Amino acid sequence: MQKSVKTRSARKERDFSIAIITLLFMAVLALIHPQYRSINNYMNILREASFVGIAALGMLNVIITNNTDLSIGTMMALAAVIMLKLMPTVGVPAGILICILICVSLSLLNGYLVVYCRISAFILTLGMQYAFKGIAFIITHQKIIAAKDPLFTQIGNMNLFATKGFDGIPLPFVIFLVSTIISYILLHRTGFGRKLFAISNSENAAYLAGINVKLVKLLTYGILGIFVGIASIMISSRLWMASAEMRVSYEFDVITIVVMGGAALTCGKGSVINTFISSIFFAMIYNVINHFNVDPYWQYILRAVLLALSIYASNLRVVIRNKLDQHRFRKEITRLMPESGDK
Amino acid sequence: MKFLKLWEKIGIYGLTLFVFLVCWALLGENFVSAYNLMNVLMQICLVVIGSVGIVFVITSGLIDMSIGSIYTLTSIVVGIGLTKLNIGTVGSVVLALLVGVCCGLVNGGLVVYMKIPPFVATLSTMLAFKGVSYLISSGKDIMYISHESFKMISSGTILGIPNPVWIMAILLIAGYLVYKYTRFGVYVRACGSNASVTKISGIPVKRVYFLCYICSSVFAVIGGIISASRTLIGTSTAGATYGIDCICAVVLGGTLMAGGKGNIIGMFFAALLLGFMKNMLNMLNLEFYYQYVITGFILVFALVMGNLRELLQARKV
Amino acid sequence: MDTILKISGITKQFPGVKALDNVSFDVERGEVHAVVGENGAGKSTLMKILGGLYSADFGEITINGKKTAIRGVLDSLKSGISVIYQEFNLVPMLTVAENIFLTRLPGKSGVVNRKKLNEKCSELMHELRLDINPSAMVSELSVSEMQMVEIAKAVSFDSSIVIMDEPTASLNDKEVATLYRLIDDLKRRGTTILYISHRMKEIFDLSDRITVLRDGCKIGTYNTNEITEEELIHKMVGRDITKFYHSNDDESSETGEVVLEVKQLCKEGFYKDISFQLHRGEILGLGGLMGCHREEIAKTLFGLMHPDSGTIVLNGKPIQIDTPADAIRNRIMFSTDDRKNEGILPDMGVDENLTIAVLNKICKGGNGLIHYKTESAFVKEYTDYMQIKYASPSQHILHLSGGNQQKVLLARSLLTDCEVLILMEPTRGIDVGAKSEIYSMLRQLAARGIAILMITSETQELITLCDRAIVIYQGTISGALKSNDSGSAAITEDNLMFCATGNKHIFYEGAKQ
Repeated sequence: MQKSVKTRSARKERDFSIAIITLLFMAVLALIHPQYRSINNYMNILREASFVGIAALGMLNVIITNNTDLSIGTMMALAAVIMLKLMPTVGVPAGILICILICVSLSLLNGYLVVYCRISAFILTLGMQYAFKGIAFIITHQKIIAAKDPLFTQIGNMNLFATKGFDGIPLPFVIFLVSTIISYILLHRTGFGRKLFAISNSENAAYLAGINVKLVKLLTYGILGIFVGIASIMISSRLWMASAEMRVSYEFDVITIVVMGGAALTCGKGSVINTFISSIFFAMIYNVINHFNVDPYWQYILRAVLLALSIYASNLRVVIRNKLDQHRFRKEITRLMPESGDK
Repeated sequence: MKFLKLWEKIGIYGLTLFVFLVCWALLGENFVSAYNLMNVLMQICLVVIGSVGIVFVITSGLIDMSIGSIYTLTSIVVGIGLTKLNIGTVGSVVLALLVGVCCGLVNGGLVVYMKIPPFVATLSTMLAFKGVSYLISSGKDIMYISHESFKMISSGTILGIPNPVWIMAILLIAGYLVYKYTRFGVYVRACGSNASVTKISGIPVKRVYFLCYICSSVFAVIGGIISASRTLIGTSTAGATYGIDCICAVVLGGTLMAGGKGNIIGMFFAALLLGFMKNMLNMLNLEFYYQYVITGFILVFALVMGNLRELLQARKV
Repeated sequence: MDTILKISGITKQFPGVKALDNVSFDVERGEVHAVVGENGAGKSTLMKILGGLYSADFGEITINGKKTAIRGVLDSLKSGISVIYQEFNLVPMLTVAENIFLTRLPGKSGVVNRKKLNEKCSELMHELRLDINPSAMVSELSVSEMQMVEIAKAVSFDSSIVIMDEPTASLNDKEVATLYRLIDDLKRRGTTILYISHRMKEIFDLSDRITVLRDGCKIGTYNTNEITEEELIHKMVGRDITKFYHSNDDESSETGEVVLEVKQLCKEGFYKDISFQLHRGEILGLGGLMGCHREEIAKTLFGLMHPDSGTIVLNGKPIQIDTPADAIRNRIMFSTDDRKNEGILPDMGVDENLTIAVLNKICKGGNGLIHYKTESAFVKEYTDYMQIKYASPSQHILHLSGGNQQKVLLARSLLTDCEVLILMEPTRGIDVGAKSEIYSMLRQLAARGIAILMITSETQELITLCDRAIVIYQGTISGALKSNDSGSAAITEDNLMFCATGNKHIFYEGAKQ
């Protein structure tokens, strides 16, 4: 009776690499410079992390199901622009709702075209990126739209629990944290999340198990829309304005974060926690660059290297694991060979 | 169904013709004057040149997101060659081409040897090359107004036709001939269509990939040289949308994203179409950004049309 | 005795199964040598070794008296061997001429002389009297035309040995005639042909000698004109009954009312006039050889294909099955034969793999929060029942043996509480011990009232497990056999093979024709 091949302990081989890297980074910085022992600086970092991290949470689901969305940057700008234009008339709550609705609708449109019309996600969302940018320009006539409502601008700038010496926890981070928890539950604790992982493991197997693969993929785009909407609100609030060209290359930042967090672009594995940590790491790098007055241009090289390395590392992990499995398997096979030739 | 077949064959040409006629109708003689049409050709030169390289890359099944940064890097490298190293026009051009080849090798290496998916790999190099541009220019712009000979690259004319248009024509024809009539062209299509069968048959797939990336880089460099020659400033902000413009023209022109089928002539017509649009927007005094919307919509439209056949057959099987 | 190819002692082991075991035979120059055997006998593996795609674990290949090492496709071509596989080695987006001469494009210094290329190709086509346009895109050719291109490619390499793996699997009669002609042409050029097939008519029409493989071993090599079809079939299937295939006399094979009925199912190019009934508690086998399209019938019942006409009736009500989700809702479940790509979720645990088809049982609406307690209860219950060996429920499924993985997939189906279970090759690639466990599992399921439709290539399974067996030949029902039939329509190896090869059509009394 053939026994199973000897096992590795846990199922979820938690990938701690990004966490370890981040902690090491923090430790080294803390040693070098007093700024990095200041909690207020970390609060700033956390705030910056929230702006990209929240979209990364949504993008994670999309990437897990083997798709992408390159239009979220301009989508965010367009929604912000429309929201701020209408806000004086309709008020803050309605404005916020409109922003989210716009992002969700546009995202679902992308999703429909990619999933049901089977258009390559990459090129489609690239085209949409263009279209959104253009529309935003047309609406704003290349001008900036200022946010005037004091209630609104609090969203991105407010800090909670401030005391003497401590500036407080940024509200965006609180929103990010809550979103992370919700994402975590959605991805790792619900049936829907299971479906996402099933699709990323094997679309065929998921389909044969009765999962409506297309609908699930469409929903990931919808969820991304919600998160992009929230990001849009936070960012325009923080900047006190919206423009057609706010945060250029936003989508690349977001995708970088997701990829660094371990969701290899090919066979999407994914972890909300790692994406969360990855956003913080990303924000830390920016902080360091600004702080040490490093040529901001180094950031490009740094980001490029990080991106390439993280993929290479995850490929390497897979390759190493496969080799180990093969080796183990070969041992088992020779042990079993006398049995299997049975007639 | 027959309509779809027709579309696949001549859709882009028909669409371009349509846009041409619309522009003519809206703008009258000003649009179809020889001067204006030559203007349009001048405008699309850069994108067409860069796109020739991209056609090869996409046809072989890969993608190159970094040509925008290579374009930028070129303007800096040329600037340095002209002003700091003083190696003259020819020297700077050669230097830039060498840099381009290196960039192509980097892209190829990441994809072939480090097995990084082409999208991510060239996304990284897009950032990296941009960073290098900033670094070697220290973030400052480099002016080289005084170099007359370099200026001639873009402002000179032969037989009344501007140099860049000649360069574009030559490269376009060369690209077409290579694609259709060389072994390399066949191999590129083979790799894009079915890489594993191609590999088993003994074709050096890795070499093909490297060559494709070198192609796209070198063509991007040429585009960058012409642009630098025109603006006479080496700036790190050039080329922001170059990569996307080229990919749009290529896909609009009928090259399949999945690989295996490239369309150089179609790409030219697509660039022409986009050029007509920009021209029209200019003449109607509409701001530059209207082009984004129209480009975006046309691209989406073309993509949907391209997939329509699959869509309609989706229910079968 | 001019031996061009000598195969000695070829052995090839795959995980869990020995595909070839010390196979040796000779092939004479200029002959058409058929290699026959059931599904899984090892024919394709042997051809892939000769073609350089696999390498044998042991054994030697001798060509023209010289020992030859074949380490890759190029080696194989150089030794004069061309293989035409069932899945063609053609590049879809290239023209016919480009495909044939891909590695030998005419022209100087990198430039392709298209005129010469097309001329060379036309010459080739002309020689073989084929009517294919050299500049046609391969993706637009029919299957038969693609095959002819492959043959032309082999001829262009001047291969002395051409191997054809089930060449007529997707051809109609007219196309088969063209193939015959081509083979004739090849023969006249002195080419040696290795022809893999199970279609009796072709084997006896074309071949000079026949080698029979069974379960990876060579049974014998015979002159075609010295053996009859019946004898050949006997050689292909005959074997000693092994002790662990015990008959199912002891289990009550009570079958109940009709739960699923299929009427006149037709799909152009795949199957025609398929009608049968499936009863509660019965195990119905669907037999047939490669290319008979029985897989498509099963897939249609699960919503993976849509028939052109015909009805499916479940418990008396006609139903429409458009997607697997529809089927599952109707309590029909499917277990794939391609465990690796369509069955398991490789990076997930045993528990997740088990419950993936019944998410609505462990969380609200299939999307809500997962009740881990309920899930664990299910996992424990079913893994105990199926005796799945694992270290912990959350263990990666890839670490389980093939047999245990298959059990997990079966358990996944059971969890759905299905009335009808469609199994595709349930014991493929599984060791002997696990197989017998699965067999007894299946009998228990049938005893519980589940109706099982089983596609398998192992004749023993059809004989000992199934209450009835329907045999498909070229897309139509060619036989209906009953286990323990008093007449001549029992499920025996011979009957199965006769029907599967179209040699005879055997129906038990009372079976609908």
